[in-house]
Amino acid sequence: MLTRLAIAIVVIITVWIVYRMWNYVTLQRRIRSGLRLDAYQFGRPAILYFTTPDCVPCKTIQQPALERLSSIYGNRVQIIKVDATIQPNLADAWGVLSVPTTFIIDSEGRPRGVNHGTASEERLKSQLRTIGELGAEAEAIDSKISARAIYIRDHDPSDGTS
Amino acid sequence: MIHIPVDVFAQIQKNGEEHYPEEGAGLLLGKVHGEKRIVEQVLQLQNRFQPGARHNRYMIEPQDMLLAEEKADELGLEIIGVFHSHPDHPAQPSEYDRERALPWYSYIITKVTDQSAIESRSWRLTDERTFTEEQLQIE
Amino acid sequence: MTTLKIPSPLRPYADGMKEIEVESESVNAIIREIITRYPALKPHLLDESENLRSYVNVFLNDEDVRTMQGLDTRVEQDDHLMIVPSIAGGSTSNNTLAKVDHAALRTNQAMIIGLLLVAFVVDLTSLTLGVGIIMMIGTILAKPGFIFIYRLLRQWNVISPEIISDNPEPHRFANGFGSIVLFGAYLAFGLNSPLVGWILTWVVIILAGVNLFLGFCVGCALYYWLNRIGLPLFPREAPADRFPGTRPPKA
Repeated sequence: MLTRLAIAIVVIITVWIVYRMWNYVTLQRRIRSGLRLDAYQFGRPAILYFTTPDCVPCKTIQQPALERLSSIYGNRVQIIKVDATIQPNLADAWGVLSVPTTFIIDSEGRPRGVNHGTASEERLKSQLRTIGELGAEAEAIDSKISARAIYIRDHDPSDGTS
Repeated sequence: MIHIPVDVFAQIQKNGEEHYPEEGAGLLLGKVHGEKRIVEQVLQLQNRFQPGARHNRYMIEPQDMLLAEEKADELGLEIIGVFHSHPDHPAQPSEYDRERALPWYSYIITKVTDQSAIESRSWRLTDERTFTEEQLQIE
Repeated sequence: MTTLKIPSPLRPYADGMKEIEVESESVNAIIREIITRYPALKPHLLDESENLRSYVNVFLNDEDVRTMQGLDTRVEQDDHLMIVPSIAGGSTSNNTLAKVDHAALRTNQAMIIGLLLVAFVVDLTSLTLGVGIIMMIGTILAKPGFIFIYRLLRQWNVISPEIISDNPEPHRFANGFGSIVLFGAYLAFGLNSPLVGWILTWVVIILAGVNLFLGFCVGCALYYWLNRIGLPLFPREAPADRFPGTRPPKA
């Protein structure tokens, strides 16, 4: 039984490593062959979003998440939307396997991350933060939003303190 | 009964024709006197529904509603209803319309085929949340 | 005490009031309060499942509470609250969309992964078959197979629903496909090929894992590719007032 447990762990770790490597290779290939995104403007991070007209989670989950991100960060983050049925070659070049797929691109045009499924607003935010985008201003917006939440929780009237 | 001046009505039809094959939508501004409603102006708005789905869906967001209310106040009018078009579909409310409709508003629906406005009908949501037709008088 | 502004269409159901004084301290409680006071408002604020209707938007001091804590947003003295309608509609009912509970889906995937891993580690081939059967039942009933576990977790308040308008077909397809692979695995065990059997079992574990941990929906990917090669899997709606299959009129 212990050998089987060991095998299970090895398989899981291997799958994880393969996934990360393959993502890395895809992103590297994009860096080398250039973004080829007319819509991308240097100096700002971007989220490249592949979708199709029939993709339901794109409309119901991904699009609203991107819109919320956009309404909070405005021009600080570019959202570039690509219809994979209109630009299938671009989708293939970016290694798109399904929709929605979102790529995180930094302000120097380097693809730094990918989500092969729906990505929540939180996840996208944390990915942008990890690569060092969304600097001090954005942090300030975020902490204003979360400070209010903390304040409200501290003053929970149901515990009888206020 | 809802009354609408012919030039204002023409704007509604034109809106539907211009947006074809997508749905066009906007708000009716006017006054209500008991059972009598008068449309004095229309506000044309952007269909905020997902691009790609606008041939059979429309949406006016709350932020746009707030701006519309300000505009209505400026003009001394009220938002009394909504107009929208049905490209290649009859001028009557669908189940999707019914689930999302508000009471009290007049819903003027215009059937548009091949870029021509064919027919417009007005509808009101009852207390039981069904639609009943409202007489539309163009003057 | 705070005031809640009522939009024109709802005033007839609130005794004609433009503004109501409310005492509750969260948006949720305020909605309950006004429904109790003005019962005629209820069918226009809540749907049959007692969820807030999609056109009801609550603004607290000019911000949509959706950008805050939603219905749990707390309201303080002198806050300014408004119900602002949003207007939506459309010409046909979109019957390919349903309310899909993603929390139930995730519980299902977690159960599949967990039980199949146990089956492998403990070398219990019948458990593989058991999971396959449950998945197949789920596919036939168009529900996640392990929904009974999800319901227990809901009862114990360990998990809350996450209901999203989604196309249920790719999820159902993934479950059906998974169960068939597991039946194949069990067959392999029966034919004395445990290696093949466990490899097939691991295929299901990995596909479910990819779905649960990476958000990658294999069923959705399949739909994407079939679409790309021109074979849409799920039925497109026929335009209304036209017999399905006929060509639309020339533009």
